[in-house]
Amino acid sequence: MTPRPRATGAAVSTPRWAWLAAVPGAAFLLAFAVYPIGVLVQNSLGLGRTGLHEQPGSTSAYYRAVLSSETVRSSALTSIGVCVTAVLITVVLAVPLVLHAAARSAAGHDTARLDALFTLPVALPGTIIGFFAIVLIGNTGLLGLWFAPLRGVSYTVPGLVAAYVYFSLPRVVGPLRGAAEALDPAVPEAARSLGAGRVRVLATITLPLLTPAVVAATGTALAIALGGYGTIAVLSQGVRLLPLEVVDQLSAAGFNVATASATGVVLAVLACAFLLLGRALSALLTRRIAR
Amino acid sequence: MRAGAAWTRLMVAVVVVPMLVTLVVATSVSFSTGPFSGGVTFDWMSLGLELLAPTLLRSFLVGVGVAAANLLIGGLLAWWVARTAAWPARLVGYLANLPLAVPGIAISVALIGTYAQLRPSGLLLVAGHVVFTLPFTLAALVPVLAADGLVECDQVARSLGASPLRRLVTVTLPWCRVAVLQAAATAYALSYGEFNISFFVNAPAAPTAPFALFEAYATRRIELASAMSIWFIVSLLPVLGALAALRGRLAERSS
Repeated sequence: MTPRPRATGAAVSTPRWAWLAAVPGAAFLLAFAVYPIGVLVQNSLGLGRTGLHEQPGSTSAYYRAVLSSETVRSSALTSIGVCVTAVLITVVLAVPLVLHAAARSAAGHDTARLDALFTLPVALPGTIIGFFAIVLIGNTGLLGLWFAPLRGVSYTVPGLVAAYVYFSLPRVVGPLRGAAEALDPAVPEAARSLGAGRVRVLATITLPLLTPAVVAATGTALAIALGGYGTIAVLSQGVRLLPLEVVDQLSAAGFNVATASATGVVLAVLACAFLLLGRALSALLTRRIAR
Repeated sequence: MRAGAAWTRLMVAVVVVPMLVTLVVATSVSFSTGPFSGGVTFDWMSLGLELLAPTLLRSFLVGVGVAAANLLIGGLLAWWVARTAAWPARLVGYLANLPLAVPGIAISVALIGTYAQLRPSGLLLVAGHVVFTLPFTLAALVPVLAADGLVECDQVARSLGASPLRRLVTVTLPWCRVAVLQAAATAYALSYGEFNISFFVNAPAAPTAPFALFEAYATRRIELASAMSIWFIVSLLPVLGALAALRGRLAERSS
């Protein structure tokens, strides 16, 4: 590949040797992102490395085994159920928050500390968030000590939903915070001056304008939550989610490279589908609004 | 407005309360009989620090390496993507975003299936973290490097006869200093807490802090595991503070 930049528009001052700057990055991405994912697909088709109990040779058997496995299917359905519920709850929690933060910053208040607090959990490994659930609603959790029915909830579906809400909150607030800030305050102000009530402005102007960003952020957060392994790794005492199946094929169930690869590809396809669906719907809605 | 303020306070509580409860557990003598029922102790905290410190140092070093690699190869790549209108730049942009769409655990399986020999040295871990953080670096740097103001300054400097190196040092780098620092801090923070891509590629003999925590959750007392979690969160605060300050600077400049 020899990228040869055309000198157009902003690129007028770009020297001829500019493509050299892209070589290390492009080579790195090819070697450590594109090629390994290619090998992953190859392995999943039996064309590359296989485990001790797996026969080499081109086959779709691993995919058929993964897709027809009762365990994988139920893990996938639980994963989708838990993540969709958690992300939808997160969106409902996040929208009033980002609207309030945007209003405050428009009124000249400093929101830096608030923004920092809500971005902090992005840097926490999913394992710590799983542990938070144990500390609050685990078998000896604090809330369980005070209110017995909450004891051990962390290992059930509602507990996982709660943990994934915490996991998703910064990942939804982040992009929505910027989108809410970018909304033109003149439009709702005009509506207000024409006599529309607060609730009406919110329902007919602010929320519809925010919807494309909400849809895109939902798709991204769903993709990240589906693939997140840390939280469920800590809370895996009963309920099973899809990332556990990928890991178990490489550890607990032996070293089944082909099966693990096929499960990994299925997980990746699911996550990609949510991400792309979110982007596509968001683009569609943006065009609708522009018209 | 008032309802919004109350809601915001509630959300602050949602984020903070789990950390506070973890701190309560970490300072309780024996949590299973109730918080502080046996009194307050800092023994778990000091033991937790002792156990976690070597892995915190390792995570710090990995994070610094990942941030440096991001600035070097990511910075060059971002400059090229920002200055090239041709399709290869867009293609590379898409490729760099691949790790956002493919879950970390799948990339982990892919990396270990391809470069198992790089695992013991820790090189595969660093490479995996760079793959994971590169899209964030590009997102921080490309818009700043593509800004009309910078392109104009660069053209003026060139027309006055400044060499490419001189323009890089005296025009480009000062222009995007805040964005560069932000990209480095983001890459460091994300690498520091990374668990998914790391899962199969971490060097088994030299665990990073998230792995020490994961093991503690499975094998240690809840008080000690809590203390270690608190130390991990505390060790993240400086870089998060730096990020918040940088974001303030960015907002100032754009307004």
